[in-house]
Amino acid sequence: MKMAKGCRISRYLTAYVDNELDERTRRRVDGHLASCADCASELDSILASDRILRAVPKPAVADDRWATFRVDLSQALDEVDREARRKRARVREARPVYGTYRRRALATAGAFAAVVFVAVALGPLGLFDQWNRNANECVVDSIETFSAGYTPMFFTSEDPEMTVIWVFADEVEGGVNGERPGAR
Amino acid sequence: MRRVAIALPVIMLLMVLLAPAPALAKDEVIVEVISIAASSGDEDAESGGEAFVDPKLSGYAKKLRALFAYTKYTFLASGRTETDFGSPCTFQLPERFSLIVEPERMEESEGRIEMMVTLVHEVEGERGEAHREREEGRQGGRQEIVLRTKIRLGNGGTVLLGGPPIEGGVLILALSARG
Repeated sequence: MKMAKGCRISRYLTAYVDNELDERTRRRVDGHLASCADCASELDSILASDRILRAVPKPAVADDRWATFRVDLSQALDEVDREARRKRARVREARPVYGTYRRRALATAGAFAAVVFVAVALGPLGLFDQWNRNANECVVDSIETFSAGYTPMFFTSEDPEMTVIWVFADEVEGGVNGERPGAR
Repeated sequence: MRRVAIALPVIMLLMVLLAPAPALAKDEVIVEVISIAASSGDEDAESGGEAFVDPKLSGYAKKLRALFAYTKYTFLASGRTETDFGSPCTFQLPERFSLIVEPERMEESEGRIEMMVTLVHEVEGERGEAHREREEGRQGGRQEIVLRTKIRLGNGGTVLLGGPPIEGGVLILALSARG
């Protein structure tokens, strides 16, 4: 339905047709329609539509349906409200999940950083030497000398873990005496 | 997404902890020898306290003091070379000593490097005459095999060899190998 342009009175035309205006407003509309062709034309259009709608027969509705209509409508509206509340609740629940995920990620990253820091900070102090302990393991399969005056031996210490292969020279050590090399 | 966020740092941590040393070619071995002079002179003994260790040997100070009773450890020289399994490499050492290291193979099961190590001393005069049949001739003197040993050294590990007398003390060698 095309509204009359520029006329504030045109907003009252539908109510005017339905006799829903007070007396004062109705007189204003009557006076305006006498001088405004656009509003008069729109009023004719509204009246024509009204006549068409009134000509359409009412759908047949059983009396008991009208009796339950209000209850059904109320229940349907209640269901709409409940669904809206459920949606709001789901949104509220999602927030803690996101927060938990972020906290876990931060905790994991923090733990990782702490491990790296400990490794970097304490590594030079030798606290992780035991991880590489087998690096200094040495198995001596054979040991011999072809020079007179030397006696070859080997020993492995536990702390520090180290294998020492030593050729005792008679002229320096005075033979093997069971003491550490260099002992006098 | 959450699993990835948790697993990623764990994987990175494992990579850091388990990362092997920079890889070499499969058949290559890096051999390093550090020559040390150990002595126990009277002037050293008078100083008292713990043994003096050359600052260049700071990485070995703790081990040297714990293992030996000398009072002074002086850095003499160091050498480092890359060689293949089956290819001997020779390090010229002070006072006509030389060390021949021949990596033979990598013991796959335990990750040790099997190697033959020979300490040779070039001598003059008639010393060692009785063992001439075992010695290799070389211009300028004879070579005595002071020590020949077959060892299996942990990859990246160090073994100490020593004992031969040198001027004012004894020779100690720190032999390291990494394959």
